Amino acid sequence: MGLFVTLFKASLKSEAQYKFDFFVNIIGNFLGLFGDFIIVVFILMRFKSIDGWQLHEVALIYSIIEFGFGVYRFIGNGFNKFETLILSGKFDTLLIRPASSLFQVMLQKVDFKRLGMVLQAAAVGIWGIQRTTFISNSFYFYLPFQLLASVIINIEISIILAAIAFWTGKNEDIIILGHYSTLSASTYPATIYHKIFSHILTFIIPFFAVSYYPLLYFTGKSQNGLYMLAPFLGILIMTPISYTIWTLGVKRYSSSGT
Amino acid sequence: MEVIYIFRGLELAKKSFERNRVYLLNHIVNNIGSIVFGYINVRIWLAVLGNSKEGMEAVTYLMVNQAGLWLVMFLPYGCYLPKKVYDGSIAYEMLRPYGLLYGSFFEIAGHIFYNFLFRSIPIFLFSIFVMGISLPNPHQILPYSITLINGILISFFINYFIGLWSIKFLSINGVQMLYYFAGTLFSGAFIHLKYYPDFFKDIVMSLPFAYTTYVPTAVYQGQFGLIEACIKQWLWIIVLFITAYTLTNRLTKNMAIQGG
Repeated sequence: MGLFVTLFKASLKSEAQYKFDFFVNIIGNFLGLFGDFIIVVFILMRFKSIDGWQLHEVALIYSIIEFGFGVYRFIGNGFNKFETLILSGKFDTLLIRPASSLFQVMLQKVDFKRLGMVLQAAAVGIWGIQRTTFISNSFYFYLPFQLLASVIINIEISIILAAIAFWTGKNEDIIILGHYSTLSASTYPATIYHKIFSHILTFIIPFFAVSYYPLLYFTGKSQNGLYMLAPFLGILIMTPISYTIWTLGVKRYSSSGT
Repeated sequence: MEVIYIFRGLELAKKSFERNRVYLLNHIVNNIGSIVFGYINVRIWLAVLGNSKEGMEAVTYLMVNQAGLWLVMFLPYGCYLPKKVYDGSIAYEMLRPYGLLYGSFFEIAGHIFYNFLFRSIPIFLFSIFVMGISLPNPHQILPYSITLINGILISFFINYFIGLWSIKFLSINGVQMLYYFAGTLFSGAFIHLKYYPDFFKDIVMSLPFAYTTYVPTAVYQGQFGLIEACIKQWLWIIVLFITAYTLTNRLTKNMAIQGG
């Protein structure tokens, strides 16, 4: 925890040094992904609903996923740029320190400008919640867990994709395919896609498990209460998988003599 | 002399093209990602429009845009300038016998030619054979090519401004994100402008972004006249060129003073 606080303070100081740039960064990160949502707003102003989901409900699906992504980029941006550590050989220095390599990569830099993404997701989410009717108020107790699950799943997916760099060197494009595109897809109702595609986003890269399925239940579109368990099942399965892949990657990296 | 300059430019473009070729495998993975993004957009539009004529027109519009994104939106961050500022090689750029704007243009031209062959064409072919998008009327091929090239020029200047930003402020993350926001919302890449409210469409048409994406694709679909497109695009090209030229001179002068 002490290490976390130290790194946190160091990152804040370095980013706040250039105040104007920091301000533009926060605004840019707030708006960067917001454009996608505004387009959905325009579509739904005209067509009213997508497969039975109204704008405020789509806003909720979107915000839960984007909130997790924003927090991940805030505290775990090291995984996003992991290939630079591998390509530059700097990962070696992390291995000789007396702290977990996973933890060090994650906290290389706390990226404060990503708070713009978190704020944007929160704003859309609050707007959506105010207009959505839930089957029970228990949703408000459930929501914090759902948000936490979104953060964890985002981080775990990024760990797996970062670990691929142990084998391939570069992984920027794999991240775009495995994380960005699937993240974007999961901000809409699963039924608009082909079954194979929505199964991938439920069972392999489980973004739908985090946001869509629980909301399906809480908005009364399904009676299946088990959907509430979907985020937790996702974490239960993804945690050992991501940890194992990372450990295998580190072993491979160490044994290749670099 | 002019001819020698052009050859120098082409040499820069060739080098940039070859640098890209090293990462062909990565770009194939990236293309799959791009197709997934295209697929998402297509599914959203088919969900609201259904498998109608309007729905299929939307699919064609979106996938032609998706193939073109690698020419008119996703150019290298700030036309490679932020990278050069970061590693200090921008100083060497100042010593070259040609200007920063000129050098950046040809470097990007090589990159775009590569993207055309290895990103746009595969995505376009996939869209034709798998997604069933419509081919353009043969009479529209040349007008589309002309307006697309104009769009590329406009996009180059916008990205070049991001590069100039890095000379002044060093970091570009925020402004790059603002560019994505503006590109997403104002270019019409992910939504045909006819679905925007009228007041918003007017705003969009008075900004340069729509002339990089919406206008060429509307020409492809025979919905926008070539002459009108060219006049408006060239107005933007002239305005952006003058701004880029002036800003480059001003910023590089300051940089020389800083460097002592």
